[in-house]
Amino acid sequence: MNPVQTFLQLSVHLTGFSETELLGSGQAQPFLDEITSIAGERAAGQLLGVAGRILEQGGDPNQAIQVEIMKDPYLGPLARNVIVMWYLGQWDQLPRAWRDAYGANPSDITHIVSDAAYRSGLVWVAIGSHPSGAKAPGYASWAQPPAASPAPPTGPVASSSSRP
Amino acid sequence: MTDYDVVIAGAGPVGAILARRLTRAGVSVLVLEAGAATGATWEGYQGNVLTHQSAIAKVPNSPWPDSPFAPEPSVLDIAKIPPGGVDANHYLVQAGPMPFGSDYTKTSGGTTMHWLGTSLRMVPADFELRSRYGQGVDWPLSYDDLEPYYRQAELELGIAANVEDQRYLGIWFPDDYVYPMFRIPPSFSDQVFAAQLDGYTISLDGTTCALQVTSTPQGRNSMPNPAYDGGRGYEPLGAVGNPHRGLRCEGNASCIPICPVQAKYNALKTLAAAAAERMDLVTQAVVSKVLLTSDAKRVSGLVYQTYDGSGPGSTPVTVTADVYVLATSAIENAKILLASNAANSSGQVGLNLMDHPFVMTWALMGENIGAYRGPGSTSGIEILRDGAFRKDRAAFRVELANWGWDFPAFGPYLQLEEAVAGGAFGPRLRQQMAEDVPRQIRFGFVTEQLPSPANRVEISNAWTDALGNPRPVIHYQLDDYVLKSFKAARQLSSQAFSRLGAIEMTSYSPLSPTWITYDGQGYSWNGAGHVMGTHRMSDRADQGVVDPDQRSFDHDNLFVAGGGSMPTSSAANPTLTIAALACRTADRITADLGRKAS
Repeated sequence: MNPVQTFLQLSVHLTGFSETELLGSGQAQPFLDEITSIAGERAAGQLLGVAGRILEQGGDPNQAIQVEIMKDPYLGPLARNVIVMWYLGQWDQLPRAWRDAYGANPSDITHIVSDAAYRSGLVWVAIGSHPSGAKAPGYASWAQPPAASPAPPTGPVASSSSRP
Repeated sequence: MTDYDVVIAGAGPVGAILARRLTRAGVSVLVLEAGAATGATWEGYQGNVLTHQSAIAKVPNSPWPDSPFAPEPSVLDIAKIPPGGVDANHYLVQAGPMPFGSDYTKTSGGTTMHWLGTSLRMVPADFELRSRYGQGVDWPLSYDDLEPYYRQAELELGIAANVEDQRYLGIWFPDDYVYPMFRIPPSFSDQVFAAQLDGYTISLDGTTCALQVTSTPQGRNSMPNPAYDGGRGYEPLGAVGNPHRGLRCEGNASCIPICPVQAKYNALKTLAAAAAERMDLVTQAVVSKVLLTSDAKRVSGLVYQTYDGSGPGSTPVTVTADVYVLATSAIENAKILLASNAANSSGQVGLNLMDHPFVMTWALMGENIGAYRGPGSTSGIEILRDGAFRKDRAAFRVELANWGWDFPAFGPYLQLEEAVAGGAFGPRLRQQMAEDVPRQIRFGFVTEQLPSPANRVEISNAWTDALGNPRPVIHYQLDDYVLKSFKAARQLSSQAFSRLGAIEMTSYSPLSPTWITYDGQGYSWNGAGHVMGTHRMSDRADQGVVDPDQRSFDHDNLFVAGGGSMPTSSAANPTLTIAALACRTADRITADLGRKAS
């Protein structure tokens, strides 16, 4: 897998959204660029290296992601930022402890990655709505009962083998 | 020989209504707007939309550009004020003891560019607060006096409502009247609330009260009513520069800070309907002073200074007219009058600053009620806007929110961040968002505030902006009349939430800049963006700044118009009343000039 493919597969497991949904947002490359430019190539490379190794093992990777990434002091904050980027289109400043330990970048400030990243925020999909100020659902839609939110995938989700 | 018949300072809703009406009556008008006109073209407006989408803090002013030459307050500025000191870190110099909680916008179209669209009439008792309840003052106008102008304002702003919903607390309409458009469909959560709360009796103020959920009149395009105007109907107005967009509300759920399609009324629409051949509009033109004749009985000119991105224009410009109008919003109008030593023989200029202190309560429903959909609010509980309790405490209306906890608890952002920080990821995170966030509900209490000379706008040579104009110095606090109603708001909420089967989640932080305690309970509150008072209307020259026509008692060719003229605040969002007063003032100015011409 190339770095974007690995990032995408990791993101599927971090977000609970399918590869198709993530690809459709057009944000995989911009978000990988964001983490690489702010946290550094070494940090991004290590996150993808660990993720790639976990994903190649096959089976349900959640336990390994939990232990080796989410609970890791170096990779955990990066993975949480990946989730926040996908859900909110937002880069959160890394925790002070991380900055102190691994190096602070002046561009590491909380910000919206781009207007397009905002519009593709997954939180709105998850809650059965749409980003405030975009993708309007139409006149009087709000008077209708809410549609059931699309169920997140259960069990092992799309892996690289599902792609042609 | 003057430059224009009328010069208007301010291109917000008041200036726009005056400009449209006066130019259509054959009057030549210059409009001076301190801010830029970024939204006046469709392309420019879309730029404002993207600015908002890219903003980390999506506050009301986030789409609208600020300038050091025409600075504007932001709700992000609000901080605790050091005891006995001032917070002068931002445009408003907050002299306390509490911070003034509201913002406004300097741009062509004014603060209607980010208003919600709520367009309530005041109730008849609101005009007689002193006579009926011994509080505040009476207006020199009655509901009956203003009723025809409410109808005009409902046309100017394009209001959607059903008359049969709006007859409460003495509000009356002519028998054959209908609003221009049918009401905006109440949200799904409104329907759930109405099913549970209509007729439900709660105890409040030592008595009982039956709740009632009422559809809110809104300046927002819905289905036009063919019966409007004696059967002539009404044609909704689309976006400025793109008239096929915005003909219906599309449910963007972004009224504040910006409606992406301009289905929500903004004053750019009214400006665009002025007779262009008789109107000049100069933007980035900051009015600093009114000049008086030697006997001080009339205004002889208006001084303004232009600027652009590179800095101020070379020298201040003086423009002359037969009639002058200040329509720059309550705080700015007072600032200009104080800087000019004008219109202040009563000593009332700047006094009686009011807002609607806005306290919120929030809860989690047992089931998905579709939060974060539709206009920000489509219904309210209006029955507590009047009652015998006003002898003791403020009236309020309950704004029933459609956007969950976005205002009180940064939803859905904060809940997502908290879930991620708590270790959730993958399908479990997605499931948690899907299950919890759409159940969020929120009430907002738009609370009446009495006029008080202690709440006021001053100016001081110590505080100036980049053009050398004074920055407003604000003295502000809440009194027990308001705080008693905060307590009543909590009492109403806990009974209503219980009836709805919702778990109350309201919590206020002592760290909030607006933290205040009353009767053993702490509250934090927000401004409502409803800036009123500061040049109040009266029928007595020693008690007010303007007469019922919004004409200065001191200078008969000066009108000072807007929310600043309101003697009391009521509990109604003020824009429709401000627009009605502007329609009335337009008639008076037209008549003045007509008399002069004949």
